[in-house]
Amino acid sequence: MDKEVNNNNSVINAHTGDLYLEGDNTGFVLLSKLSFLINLPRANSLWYLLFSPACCGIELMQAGGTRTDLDRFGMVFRSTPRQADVMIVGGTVTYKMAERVKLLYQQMSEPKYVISMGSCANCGGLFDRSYSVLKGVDLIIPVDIYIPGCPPRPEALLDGLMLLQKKIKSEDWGRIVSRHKARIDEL
Amino acid sequence: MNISEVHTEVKKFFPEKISDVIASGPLSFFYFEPEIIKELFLVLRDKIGMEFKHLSYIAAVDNKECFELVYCLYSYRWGNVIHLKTRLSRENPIIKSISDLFVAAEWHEREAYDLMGIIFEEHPDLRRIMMPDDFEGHPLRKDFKEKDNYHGIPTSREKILGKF
Ligand code: SF4
Repeated sequence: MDKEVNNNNSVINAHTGDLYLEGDNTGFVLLSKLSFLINLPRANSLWYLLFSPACCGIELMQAGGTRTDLDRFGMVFRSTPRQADVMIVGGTVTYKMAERVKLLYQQMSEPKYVISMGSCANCGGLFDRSYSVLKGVDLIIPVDIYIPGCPPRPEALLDGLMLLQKKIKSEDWGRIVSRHKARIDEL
Repeated sequence: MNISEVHTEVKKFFPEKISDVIASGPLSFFYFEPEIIKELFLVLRDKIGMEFKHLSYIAAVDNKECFELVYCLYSYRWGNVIHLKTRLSRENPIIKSISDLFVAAEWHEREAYDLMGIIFEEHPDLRRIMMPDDFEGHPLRKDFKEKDNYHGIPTSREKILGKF
């Protein structure tokens, strides 16, 4: 951060990364890219859907516990898809469940993200030859982040969520809106 | 009562319809003809000295020539377990339901119907229990062939191992 403070007139002139600050003791002006200002709160208030089809869900609960503590990243669970930003598919998805997962995804409001957690959600995992298990959740909904493991440790889930934050921060707001439109046209 | 005592006891009721005791490892059992199932289980459940009041499980086995049903009974009073088996033909796997004698049988029979396609006559509610209602076929049969999609969802995934 470059800083220049003139004590006589109290002029502040600072900039860091995408932020530019200028002013004096009567007030200041903050200059930045609109995408940066929109993405910063979006990335730091990722609300995830309280939903998990199988045993990876236990690690998901654990990730909300004291050791990894998702709350400090502004991530809290929501029990309705309407209020959720990210869906963490933690576990084995059967064909019977697949249709419900798709419905939940469609009920979430844009912009929405999906994390596929664990081998089962990634590719069917150890149920690869099963007659009733979906071979990867990306066959029904678009996935942003894949987390390998059976189950992934809470640290791995946290890493995935931080990657998602990075992805969100790098997004262009205009593109998100057009993607939203494209998805609505698809339906 | 152990399995051989139970066997001599029920042999008096159904002399023709019951095989000898077959011992295979720790598990001893005998076969019975499917048509006597109701009477046999009534005797096993209610006769003083046997009193097998608890049905632990019903298992269905596909051994390619025929289907086999395995019934496991437990007596709370005498603390012992017996296994009974019966054989059904592959073409026509029909047997009477025992859900009026043992309430636990209801779900076990639904499961055997769902996964193996065994029809239980006089069952109060013979629907699929685990697979979706519109699923075609019975997946644990040896000759089951998986469809290539379910409601438009593909049932296989492209293998990427060995591509790089
Ligand atoms: S990946 Fe492992 S832990 Fe996760 S749902 Fe599948 S079997 Fe369970």
